[in-house]
Amino acid sequence: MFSKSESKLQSNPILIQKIMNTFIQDIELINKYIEGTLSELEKQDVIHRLATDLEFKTLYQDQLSLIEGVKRAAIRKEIGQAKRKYKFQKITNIIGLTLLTIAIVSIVIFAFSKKQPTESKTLIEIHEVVKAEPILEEKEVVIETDSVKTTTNIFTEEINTEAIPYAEPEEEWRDVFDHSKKQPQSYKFKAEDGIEFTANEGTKVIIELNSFIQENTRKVVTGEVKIKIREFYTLPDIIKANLSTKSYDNLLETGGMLFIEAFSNDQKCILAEDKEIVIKFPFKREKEGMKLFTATKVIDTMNWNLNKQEPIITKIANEIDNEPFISAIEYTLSKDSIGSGIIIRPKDSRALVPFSKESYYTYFEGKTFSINFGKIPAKAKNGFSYTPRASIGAPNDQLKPGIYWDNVGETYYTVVEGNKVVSLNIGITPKIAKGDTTYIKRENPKPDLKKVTENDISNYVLRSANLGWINCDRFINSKKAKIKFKVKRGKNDNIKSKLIFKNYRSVLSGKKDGNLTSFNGVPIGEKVLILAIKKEEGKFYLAINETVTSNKTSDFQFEEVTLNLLNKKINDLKFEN
Amino acid sequence: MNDKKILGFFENGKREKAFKELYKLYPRIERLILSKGGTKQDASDVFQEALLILNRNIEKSNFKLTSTFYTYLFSVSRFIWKDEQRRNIQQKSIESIEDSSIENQVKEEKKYQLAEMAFSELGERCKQLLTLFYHQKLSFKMIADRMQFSSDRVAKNQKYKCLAKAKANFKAIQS
Repeated sequence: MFSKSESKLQSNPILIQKIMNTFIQDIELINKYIEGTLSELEKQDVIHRLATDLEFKTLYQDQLSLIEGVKRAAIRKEIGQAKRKYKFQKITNIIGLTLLTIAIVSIVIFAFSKKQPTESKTLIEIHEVVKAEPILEEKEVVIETDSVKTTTNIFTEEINTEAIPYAEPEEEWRDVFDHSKKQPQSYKFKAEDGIEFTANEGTKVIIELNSFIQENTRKVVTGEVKIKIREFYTLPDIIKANLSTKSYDNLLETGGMLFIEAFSNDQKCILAEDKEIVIKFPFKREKEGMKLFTATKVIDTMNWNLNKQEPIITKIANEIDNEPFISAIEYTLSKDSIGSGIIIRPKDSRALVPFSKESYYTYFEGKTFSINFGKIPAKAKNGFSYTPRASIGAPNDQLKPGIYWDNVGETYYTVVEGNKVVSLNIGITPKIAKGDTTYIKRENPKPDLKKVTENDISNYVLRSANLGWINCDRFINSKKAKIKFKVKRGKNDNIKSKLIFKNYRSVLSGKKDGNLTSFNGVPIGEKVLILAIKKEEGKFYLAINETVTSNKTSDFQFEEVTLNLLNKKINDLKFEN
Repeated sequence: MNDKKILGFFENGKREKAFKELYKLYPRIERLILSKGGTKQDASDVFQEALLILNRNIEKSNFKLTSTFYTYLFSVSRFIWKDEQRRNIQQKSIESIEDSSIENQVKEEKKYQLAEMAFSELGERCKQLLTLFYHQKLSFKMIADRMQFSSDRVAKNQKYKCLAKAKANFKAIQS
């Protein structure tokens, strides 16, 4: 990229920046030329430069080659996948053929041996074997049953990709459990454009352009798409939608549940094979280990399947590993100006630009990162865009040598050493001092999360290849023994019950177990709320008992309530963590 | 499956399906390479390269399939293998395909092979970023979301750094 000697560049960071800027401008121009998005005048200018400027021509040719190189690598990957599928199909065909041959031979042997004929049974079995699609792993779908089940294959990649509809509550329970009352929010957009929206309860959804196909026809959807989303973050919403947080026999803690559907001309759409939607679940206090789950089945309760073993990512700075440090701009300020001034950087420049001798501030991507607040000069509002957000140090504090980052943890640095202020390009950790510029190794690679506001870092970011029920959960890895927690229910069949954990955002549904209601796979010694609603002769009874899980059988302590009071009591419930 | 359907897969962006169908031709190409002294690995590499060249040509707006896919892949594979063996092409055409055209296609691809090498030497995140931008043609905003950059501007800046590094790799490989 650089035509000058490296040593000269190292001693002249401004020159490096200048060359880098020229490189960026030329590449942008070339990209637009390749894409055919230049105006006729700009196009002619590029053609002229290609004919007269050898350096530009080389850059153009290299750029073309590199783009093709990138594409080659991607296509090679696709070819590799196609090859694997081809081989897999070939092997299954061979196995099928072999089994068929064995079967035919067996039939012939049986026929000739004149034994009691069993051909029909054998043929059926053979037919099934030949016809069967490759099964990755046999897996039990558990919908909480009366007995405790132990399932260990929770990390399987095999998932149910079908979007499962809502389970309608029984007629007599609709007054309480009719979650259809929670109307879905709708967002319309053009399939060709994609969309990014934030739903009412803070869920952010990002959908790329051309993400959908028709479920029935498998044709790529064009034109208007309607997204319907329901959010379930609060305890009352979770209870009223009759949701629970369980993956096989493992207790989950939820970071939010969603039900998402897409329609085009009232026809249901699904995500195309290679498409994913990005979902950002809001949170107030970060919990480690959140992952994406999809529902496998909805009857009375649901089972959540771990979708991918993909680590959750919060909105923290990302760096490209081992990238070389490219540019730095250094300004030497007087001691006085450091003490009382601020550093300014224009929106479209990576350079640190002194605004005046007295007043400086640093601009970072729409946020002002003020080294030391002073009065922001009125002129800045014309020439520069800024939004004061955070200060490093209280006003009038002396700026101390060190490295600072802005309050969303982006990898911007301002390094102050002695009377020098050095602004480095984003995303790069300087490792060593070079030339005259003093770079300081970053002491703490992560921002201090305590200083980060809720708005700045507050999402679990997940990607899903499916719509339907989506849950942001984590496993509760309790070392406590798991028990079947039992509560006496009496003879009344018409009881709905939930076990709500005090220390986790976890909810289990109870199951009738003779004269008991049982909750399976419950860690012993956990503080819980038992919530039960009984309907008897048209009257509602509510029990909300606080207890600790143990092997002892608990009791529901029902009180008669009106429907209004029942709904109010449920609406008053809150997760305590 | 006939060639028209495979071409349809390419035209509808279902490349992987098309490649899977084309792999049914692989045993015959493998026999060709084995008969010319190559190994199974050679055959696999040659066929993959032939598919890459085929894909590039299909993407050209003026591409017309004038022979069967088999004939095309056979000719390209044969040419690649001979080029690999002797680096000096003297063979004449086979069936309806003209070797001069094949020769140009294979030579053009050589340049891109080097660029691919330069690309493959990048770090994983750089590779992902450039692939999303140049191959999947995602906007910087989408890339920022997918790769968890804090803004599209960060994604854009990182892209240029990755590109600069790829370019430096490319120069080093060429020299």
